[in-house]
Amino acid sequence: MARLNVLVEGSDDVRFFEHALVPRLSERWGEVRLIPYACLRRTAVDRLLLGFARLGEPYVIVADIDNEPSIRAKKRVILGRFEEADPATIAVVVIEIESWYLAGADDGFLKQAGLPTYSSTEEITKEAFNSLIPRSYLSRVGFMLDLLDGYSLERGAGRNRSLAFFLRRYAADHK
Amino acid sequence: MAITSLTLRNFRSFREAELRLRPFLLLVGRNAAGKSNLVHGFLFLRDIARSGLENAISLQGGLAYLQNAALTCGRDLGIEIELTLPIRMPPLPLPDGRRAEIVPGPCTYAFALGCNERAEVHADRFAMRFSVAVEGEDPAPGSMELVHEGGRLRYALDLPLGLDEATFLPPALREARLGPNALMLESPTLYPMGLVRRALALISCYEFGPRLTRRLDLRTGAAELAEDGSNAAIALGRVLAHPPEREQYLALARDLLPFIEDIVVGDGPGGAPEIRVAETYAPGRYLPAETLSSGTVELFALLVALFFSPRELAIFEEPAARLHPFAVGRLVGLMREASKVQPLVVSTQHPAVLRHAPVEDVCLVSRDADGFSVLSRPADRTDVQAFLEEKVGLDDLFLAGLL
Repeated sequence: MARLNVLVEGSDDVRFFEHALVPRLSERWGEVRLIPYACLRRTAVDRLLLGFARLGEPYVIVADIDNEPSIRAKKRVILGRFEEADPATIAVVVIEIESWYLAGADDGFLKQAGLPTYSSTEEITKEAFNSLIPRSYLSRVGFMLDLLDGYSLERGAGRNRSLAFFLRRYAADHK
Repeated sequence: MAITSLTLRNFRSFREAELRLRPFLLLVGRNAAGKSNLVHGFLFLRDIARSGLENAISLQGGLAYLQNAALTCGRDLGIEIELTLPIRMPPLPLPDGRRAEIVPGPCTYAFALGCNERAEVHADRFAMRFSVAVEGEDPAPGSMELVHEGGRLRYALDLPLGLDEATFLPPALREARLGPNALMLESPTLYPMGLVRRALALISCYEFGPRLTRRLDLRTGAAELAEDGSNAAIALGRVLAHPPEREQYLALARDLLPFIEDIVVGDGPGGAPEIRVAETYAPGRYLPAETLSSGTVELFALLVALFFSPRELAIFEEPAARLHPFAVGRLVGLMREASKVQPLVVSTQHPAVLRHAPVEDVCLVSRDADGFSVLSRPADRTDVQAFLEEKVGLDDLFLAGLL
C-alpha cells in the first residue's frame, strides 16, 4: 500500500491528525506521514513536493481557509506560495483546524463543559474557539485533548463539510 | 580508528541495535529517542575498563536501569564491540626457516550479563582475525579466540603455514587469573585484553551544560579537560603554556570568534586559575571569564577537547546548544577536521548542525512501535536520497520529521 504524506501547518494540526485522522487514514494507506510545514521555508516545501513526485508518493497539503472568501481563493494563495503544488492535492479546512476539533467532539463532554452543540462548525474561528475554553483549563492544549477524547469522525463530517470532503477523498470507507 | 562498531542487546531502551562508527558521526533524534542511552553503552564499557564491572554498574544506577524495562528479566544484557588493536609483533619463524609477518585484522569483544539479584557473567569472549604474510606468497588467514568461562580461560588458535602456537603466543602471556564473575576487560595483564581495556578507558563524553562560566572556580584539578568542563581554566592554561600550541589554539578560537585578540589564564580571586580574554574592540583590556557568555566559554572548552585532548573516541552531547547558527557551521567544520585525528560522535537535535553535515555521517535514533530504540542511516533510504537530489536540506528534513 502506498504512503500518504500529509503536510499540515503546525502543532495543533499535527495533534488533531495524530489523534483523530491517522487511525482512519491508515486503513487505506500503508503509512501516513505528517509533515508540519509552517516551520519550513517555502523553497524547502517546494523541494519536498518535487521529492514526492520523484518518489511517486501521494501528498496532500492541508491549509486553513482563514480570511479567504472561498476554497478556490485559498487554493490560489497556496499555489502562489508553493510553486510546485498541484491544485488537486490541496485540502482546505473551513474555517480553521479548531473547527474540526469542535465538530466531532462528544456531545456529553460539550454539555458537561457548558458549551453549546453546533450543527455546523464552519463559522468557528480561532478566536471564537479560544473564547469557548472553560476557565478551568490551564491551557488550550488540555481542552483540545479533551475534545479529541471520544471524538467521532462521522459526527465531525456531519457538522463540517470540509472535514467530510477530506474523509471522502482520503479515508477508506467513509461514506 | 580503533572502535568500529558497538552492538547493544537488552541495554536501556535498546532491544538490539548495532552502531557502525565513522570518523565523524552525528547521532540525531527527538527527545527520549535513545541517543543518550546509546552513549551510555560506550560509557558503560569505559567505566568497566577504568573501574571494573561492579563500579560500572553502580555508575549506571544499578542493574535495574541497565536493562530494558519492557523485556523479561531472563534475557541477558549483552554488549559487543569491534575494534582494531595496535598489535605489533616481531616477525615470527616458520618451520621451514622463513619469517612471517603478522598483520592484525578486526577484533571482536563481547560479553553477556545475566541479570538476577546481581550481575552474572554468562559470556565473555574475544576474537581476532589476522593474516600471516610471507614474502612472495599471498597472505594466509589466521585467527585467535579467547574465551572466559567461570574463571577459566581458553585460547583457541588457528595458525596457518605451520606457525607454532608457543611462538605465536608464549605460555607466559596466557597466564592470567580471573574471578568467576569478572570480565576479561577488567584484567590489565591478560593478553591482548589489556589493549582493549586501554582503548576503551580512553573514551570521553563531554557535556558542558549551561552556566559553565559559573563553575570555573576550581583551584586544583586534572590537567586533562574534565567531561563537564569544570576545569577548563586549568586545561586551557596547560595548552596556552606551550607557545606552538598557544598559537594554534588562538588561531582556532579567532576562527570561531573573530573579535578575540588574546586569551590568557592567570590567577583569579583566591588563587584559582582564571580565563581572561582581550577583545579587538578594546585591545589590551582583559575581561575575566565570568563576564563572558556561557557559549563563548563553552567554545573555549570545546576547542581544548577537540584538538588538545586526544582520545580513542570523543563523544559530545549537544555541543551547539548555546551557539549562534553561524558559529555552529564553523564548529561543525572544526569537528570534522578534528575527527581526522580522533573519532568523534556528536549527539544533537540542533538542526543547524545537520545543515553542515553530509548525510553519510548521520545516524538517526528513533523509537519503534514497541518503544525500543532503533538506529537507521538516512543515507540508505531511497526517500531521503530523492529529497536530497531535489536539494532539500538535511536540517529541513529533520524539522519536517522526514529523516
